[in-house]
Amino acid sequence: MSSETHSTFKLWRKPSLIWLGLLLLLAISVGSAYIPLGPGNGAINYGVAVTKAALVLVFFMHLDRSRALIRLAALAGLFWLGFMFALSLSDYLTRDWNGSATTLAPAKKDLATHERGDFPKDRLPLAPQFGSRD
Amino acid sequence: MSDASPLLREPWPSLERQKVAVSFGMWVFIASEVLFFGGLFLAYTVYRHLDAEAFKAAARETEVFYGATNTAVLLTSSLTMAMAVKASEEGLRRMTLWCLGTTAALGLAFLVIKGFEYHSDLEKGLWPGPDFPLHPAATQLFWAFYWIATGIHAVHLTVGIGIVTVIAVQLKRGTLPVEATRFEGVALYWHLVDTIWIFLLPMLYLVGRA
Repeated sequence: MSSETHSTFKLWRKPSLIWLGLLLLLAISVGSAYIPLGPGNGAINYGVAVTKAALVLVFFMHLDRSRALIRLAALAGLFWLGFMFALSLSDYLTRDWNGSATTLAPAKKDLATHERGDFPKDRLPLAPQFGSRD
Repeated sequence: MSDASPLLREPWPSLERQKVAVSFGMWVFIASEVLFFGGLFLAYTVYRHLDAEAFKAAARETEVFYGATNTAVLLTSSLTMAMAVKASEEGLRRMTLWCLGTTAALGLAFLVIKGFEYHSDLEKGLWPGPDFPLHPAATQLFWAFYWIATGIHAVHLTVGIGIVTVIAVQLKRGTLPVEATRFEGVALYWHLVDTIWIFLLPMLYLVGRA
């Protein structure tokens, strides 16, 4: 009986520690969200989310003891997800296609020298609909 | 060899190969799910970027208490699901049953809490359309994402609760042996649903709080 209890305890030990870690990370992300840190808030929130997901994937989903085939299948999804985000954001973050500023490109009005001759300013196809957002 | 095992199914030559196939097939499905939710998350990222202030104003209206509580509930359900697999590997039938039952119950608890949250959201009129209470108009983009993302997640969770309940009943009736290979596949799906919620928490509840 006592050896059975002991083995049950051993079975629960590691997963319980990971669970406690996950709850601690949850507390960190919710708590830090109320402290004004500027861009740091987003960095902490998404950093914590990635860490939590990694804990679940590696330990609960057993990537730590899976064979190479399984790990490759798991990575394949993340690989193509990376492509989707990288290629899409390289467009949205750098092109002022809707006439407003982006992180990596200033607003259209500051870019007068870049305006293309074949689209006079008053005939920009997208600007009237999407230029002002309210 | 284990070829004579009653657990072995066509077309697998051995139980070991069958186990790998369960995990491999499930991970391929999970990769497709990652890209499915990834498309939604990408749309969120783009609109959050284009309308940063509107998204902050809109996200301040979500119920962070319900969101955080539900995260804790799902993380705990992942623990009991992982323990169900461990127990089944050890041949501990009663513990497997107990863990599966707790997992399904925690999944249901999530849906009940989500129901209270939806009720509160609707009382505040946060359903995109005419007379939407928030401004600027782009706040409706955030709330459209909120309803779609949490709705699809809830559908996934409901499916998970159903599957966990079915294998628990099969195990209880004795039609499914405790060493069956399908526990791992079900667990992988359950953890996927948990992982998606892990990312929805900062996207929906923790924006613009500081």
